Order: sequence, then structure tokens, then C-alpha cells
Amino acid sequence: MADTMIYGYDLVKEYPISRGMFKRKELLRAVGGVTLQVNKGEVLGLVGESGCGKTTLARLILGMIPPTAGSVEIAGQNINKLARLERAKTIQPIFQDPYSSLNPSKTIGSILTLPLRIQRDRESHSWEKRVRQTMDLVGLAQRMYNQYPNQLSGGQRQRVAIARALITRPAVVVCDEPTSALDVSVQSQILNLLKELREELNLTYVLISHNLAVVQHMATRVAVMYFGHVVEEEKTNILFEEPKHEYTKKLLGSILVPDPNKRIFNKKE
Amino acid sequence: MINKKEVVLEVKNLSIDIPVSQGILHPVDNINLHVERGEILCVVGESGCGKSLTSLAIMGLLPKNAQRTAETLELNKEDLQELTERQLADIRGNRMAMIFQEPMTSLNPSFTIENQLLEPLLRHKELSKDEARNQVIEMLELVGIKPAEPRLRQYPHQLSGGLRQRVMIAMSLLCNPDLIIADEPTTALDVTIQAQILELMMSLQEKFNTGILFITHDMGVVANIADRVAVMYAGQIVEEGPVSEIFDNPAHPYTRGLMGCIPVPGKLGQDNTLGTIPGMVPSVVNDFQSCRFGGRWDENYKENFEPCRLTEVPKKRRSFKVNLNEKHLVHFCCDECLHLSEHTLVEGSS
Ligand SMILES: Nc1ncnc2c1ncn2[C@@H]1O[C@H](COP(=O)(O)OP(=O)(O)OP(=O)(O)O)[C@@H](O)[C@H]1O
Ligand SMILES: Nc1ncnc2c1ncn2[C@@H]1O[C@H](COP(=O)(O)OP(=O)(O)OP(=O)(O)O)[C@@H](O)[C@H]1O
Ligand code: SF4
Ligand SMILES: [Mg+2]
Ligand SMILES: [Mg+2]
Repeated sequence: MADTMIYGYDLVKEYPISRGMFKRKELLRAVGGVTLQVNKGEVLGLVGESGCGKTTLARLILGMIPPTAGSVEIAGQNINKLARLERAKTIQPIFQDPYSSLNPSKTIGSILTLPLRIQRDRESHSWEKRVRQTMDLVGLAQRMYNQYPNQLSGGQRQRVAIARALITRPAVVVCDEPTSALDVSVQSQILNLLKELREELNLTYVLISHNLAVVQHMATRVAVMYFGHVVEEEKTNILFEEPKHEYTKKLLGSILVPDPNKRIFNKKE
Repeated sequence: MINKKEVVLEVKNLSIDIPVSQGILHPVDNINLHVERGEILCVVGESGCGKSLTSLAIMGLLPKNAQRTAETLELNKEDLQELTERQLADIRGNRMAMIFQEPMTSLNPSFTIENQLLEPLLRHKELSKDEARNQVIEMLELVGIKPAEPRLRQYPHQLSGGLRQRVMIAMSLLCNPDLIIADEPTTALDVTIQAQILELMMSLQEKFNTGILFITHDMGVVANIADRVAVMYAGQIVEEGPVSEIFDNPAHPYTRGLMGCIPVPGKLGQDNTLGTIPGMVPSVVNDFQSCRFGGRWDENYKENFEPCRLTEVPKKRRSFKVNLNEKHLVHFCCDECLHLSEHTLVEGSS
């Protein structure tokens, strides 16, 4: 029987939003009752309109924000009851916005060493070697070991975030747009790496991406979110071949084909 | 004769140097580019090849330690290098606007969306606050933020990645600039909203005859919106031409590699590994030991081909015009490279 790695039950997250001074706050329902289960070794693709609640759901799964209702279990344990260290060992995020998730005053070397330090990894003599190896794996030049985040390009920063999540080989990785800032060649390199790690170590991924080609390539199952709800969930090939929900169809119909002879916009000459 | 269109942006021999501990980094090395009115120039290239620094250099927003040199840097024939910081500030957001790669770097975390968007309008246009506010709301709805009203009082961190990106896009479009530099503007958007935004940008561009320099690594976007494409590699523009030329007849080895690893939607199996270009972008510190692209030919090339050493590579790159189209320009650094690209040389220049 497959082990359940992630079990989110009836998750709801509401945010208060201001309606202007002296007015009562309104509630914005970012996630409106989502139940999801991901088994060990699976890759769950999460797609949906911008603002539909994907990042919020990811943060709930990671235990970074408390749910308004519902609960999350990671490997059978309630995420909010796990000790921080234990949680960090099991589940790691790769965030959408690498700029705000990297400490600007730390070098890349120390940013990447931190997870090893936090987890009190005993082989401290090998830390630097492992950091440098991981930098190689994600295609970061060694000279960046001593550089700061603001000295890197957008795609390089994104790769730092990826390296940081993978260095301790967590069982679950929640990737929020992990390759959005990468060119196709580097993107392929990263996706190949994620695939290899999964096969080698039986890792479990939640993969949020607007790039449907990436989702199709990586995910074993896809959940489509729309206004805070999962409206369709299917094995990847089935979803791409026979989308059922209107939004899914619209999504698949808006893919831009990399061929200048098949433009969907008409430009007046 | 084709009518020569009006040029909005003219950049000649732009270089950027940044001192780092190991020496001097040359992330941008003598590049030339121009954007005409009503035209979209897409710039593609590997992560770290200098695309963002190039756009920051044009905007006059480079980090302090970076040094810019250029023979020509003109917006509508006006020399940007001659302007004072104040004059530049008047132009930015008004006549030229930039959509930054990472919205959080340019949105002020402590201002509401309303305040950030009103600022450029009130500063550059003679509008009452109410008029400006209405324009802001209208623009937000055009970029698909509906209803826009409740968003005005939110702060950047309360928005999703894609909403933030659209706020940035709205901000850049508000003053109808002559030139928009868009650095990966749609990475956080789902394909339906992306299509809507691109369509909006194109229609506004037509209406106001804006020139757009559009940086992206999404070849689907390039194929759909570009008039011309410039391919950057390790700080240089290695190939440039009309969009159909670049897709159908890529000439430089890097462009060819790039075309080879586009994941085509619908055609991708689960089992195959994705194509990559072997190796990684060389470090651009000091001068090159060998050619920038050296050693990154695909496997077939690698066997019988050693990358040229510096002594063999001419100091100044030669540019060869390829026989396909007078507008299609490729920069090869040596004859070997030209030979391998299987193109015949028509006209060479140094
Ligand atoms: N801290 C917060 N306070 C108030 N509202 C918030 C907060 N965080 C998110 N939201 C709102 O919740 C909704 C869902 O946001 P979320 O970031 O989960 O979307 P998303 O699906 O990740 O979108 P994108 O694809 O654009 O990144 C949005 O309307 C957003 O503005
Ligand atoms: N302030 C800085 N100090 C030192 N090096 C820098 C600095 N800013 C950028 N660089 C380096 O210059 C090179 C070009 O950076 P740039 O941000 O222009 O790349 P890019 O083409 O936009 O890449 P991406 O697609 O990843 O955003 C990179 O290798 C980067 O590491
Ligand atoms: S053939 Fe040209 S591109 Fe290839 S290694 Fe030599 S100089 Fe570089
Ligand atoms: Mg998000
Ligand atoms: Mg960039």
C-alpha cells in the first residue's frame, strides 16, 4: 500500500481585507475547503488562475500559516504539532519569489549551509563540499559561493532557492513556480535533476506551475484550482487529453505554441 | 524601399563592468540594439547572460558599483547619458517605463497599491486626484484585476505573485510611455491571463505606437508577439533577426541549442529527459581563456572539436551577415564556428 505523505483535510484560509477606514473588515477566502492527498513518490501538479489560492495552499501544507479550518498531516503527523526541526527535515519549500525569500545580508555559501547547520548535520567538515556540489547540480558558478543575493540574476537566485531546499534531501518538496525565471535550457537541467532525485530517493513533490509543459512533464497527477477550490483532479495524461472542467479547457486552449506561424494574436500591419 | 521607421531606442556599444573580488566582471560586452516605434523586440538568452543588467543600464538604474559605457544611448534621439539624475527621473515612468523581473524589488512594501499607482500619474500628468484614481482603477481592470477597488487598499505582500506582477504592468502602462522595457513580465501569470495581458500590451502599443523591449525565456511568447528577436549569450548579442528567421533558420550554435530544448506543450512524454545545452555559461570575469561558447557544442561536435583558445579568437568579434536575409545578423567569433553552422558567408565585416 502506498504511504500517504501529505494529507490536507478540508483546508480553509481566510484573510481579513480592509474596506476603507471605519468600515468593518471583509474576509477574503483564499482557500475555500480543499482536501488533498499525495502519496510517497507522487508528483502532484497544482495549476490554476493567478490569485486562485495555490501559494496559500502551499503555505498551509508547509505549516507556515495556520488554517482557518481544516488540518494538514505530513507523513501521518499533524504539521502544526511537529517540532520545527522535524518539520524542516521532512518538508521543504521552494518559493515563488526568490528575492524576498533569500536573506540579503548573507552570502550564497552561508545561505546554503544554514539548512545543514539548523539540522545539526554532524559531518560539518563536509558542509562546504556538499554546498559546492549542490551549486554544481543547479548550475551555479563556484564564484557565487561568496556573493550576495543582489549580485545574482533572477534565475541564479531562483537556483539558490532550489539548492537550499534540496541540500538536506527532504522527503517532501513543495515547489511554487520553481523554474519560472529560468531559460529553457537551465529549466530542463533543473527538471531533470528533480526527476533524478525523485527516482533515486523516492521524493514526493507538490509542483505549482503556470507552465503547462512543465506540469505535463513532471506531474503524475494534476489538481486544477479555481477561486479557492480544486475543481478537477486527474492523472496527468488523462487531464491533458480529456479536460472536463470549463476552466481546464480554457487553460489548455491558451497555451502559446513556440511557432511564429501559429500566432494567436493578430497584429495589424 | 521599406520605410525606415522611427527609432525609439538606440543603443550602440553598451558595456557594463562590475568589480568583483576575482577581478572585473564584464556581464555586458559591447552590445548594439535598437527598438523602433510600434515594434516588439524580444531578447532571449540564458539565465545570467546580462539581460536584466542591459535593461537597468538603459533605465539608468544600475547598482552603484556597476560601470556603464556606451557610444550611443538614445531615447527618441535624446542622449540619455547627458541627462542629470532629475531629468532622468522625469523620463522614467513617463516616457520610458520598466516592468521589473521581480515585482517585490520595485514595489514599495509600505505603500498601498493605490499610492504606488497614483504617484507616477500625479507626478507626470496634470490630473486631479479623482481623475487619476479612475484611470488607475480602469487600468487595473484592464490587466484583469477585477474588482479593482478593494485591491487599492492592499499592500504588496497581501497580493499573490501574479497580482503583484500585474500591478507592475499596470503601473508601466499608465503614462503611455514611448518605450517599455519588460523584463520577464508574465512569468507569474497563468496562460489565460498571460494571453490577455499580451493582447492588452499589443493593443495599447498599436494605439500609442510604443516600442517594446521584451525580455523573456518563454519561446511561446516570443513566437507570438515578437517582430524581431535578439539572442544574448554571455554578455553579447550573438544573433539577431526577424522572428520567423530566428525560429526557422537559427544560425548561431547557441540559438540552435536553445531551439532544441524548448519543451513543446502536448508533445512531451513523461519518460524522456529534457534536452539541455551541455555545460554552463562561462564566468565572465576578466577575459576569456577560450571562446565564450567553447566546449558547449552538442555531443557530436565535442568529439572532434576543441574550443578555440583565446589566442586564436580574434580580439574583436567579427560579425558575419548570413545569406538568408539582410536583417538576419549573426556574430560568429571564428570561421570554424561559421563553418559548423552550415551557413555560407555572404558579406563579412569586422
Ligand atoms: N497575507 C495576505 N493578506 C490578504 N490577502 C492575501 C494574503 N495572501 C494572499 N492573499 C490573497 O489570497 C488570494 C490567493 O493568493 P495566492 O497567493 O494563494 O494565489 P496564487 O494562486 O498563488 O496566485 P499566483 O498564481 O498569482 O501566485 C489572493 O487574492 C491574494 O491577494
Ligand atoms: N551587482 C552585481 N554584482 C556582481 N555581479 C552581478 C551583479 N548583478 C548581476 N551580476 C552578474 O551579472 C550577470 C548578468 O546578470 P543579469 O541579471 O543581467 O542576468 P539575466 O540575463 O537577467 O539573467 P536571468 O535570466 O537569470 O534573470 C550574472 O552572471 C550576475 O551574476
Ligand atoms: S567555433 Fe566559434 S563559437 Fe565555437 S568555440 Fe570557436 S570561436 Fe567559439
Ligand atoms: Mg502564487
Ligand atoms: Mg534577469
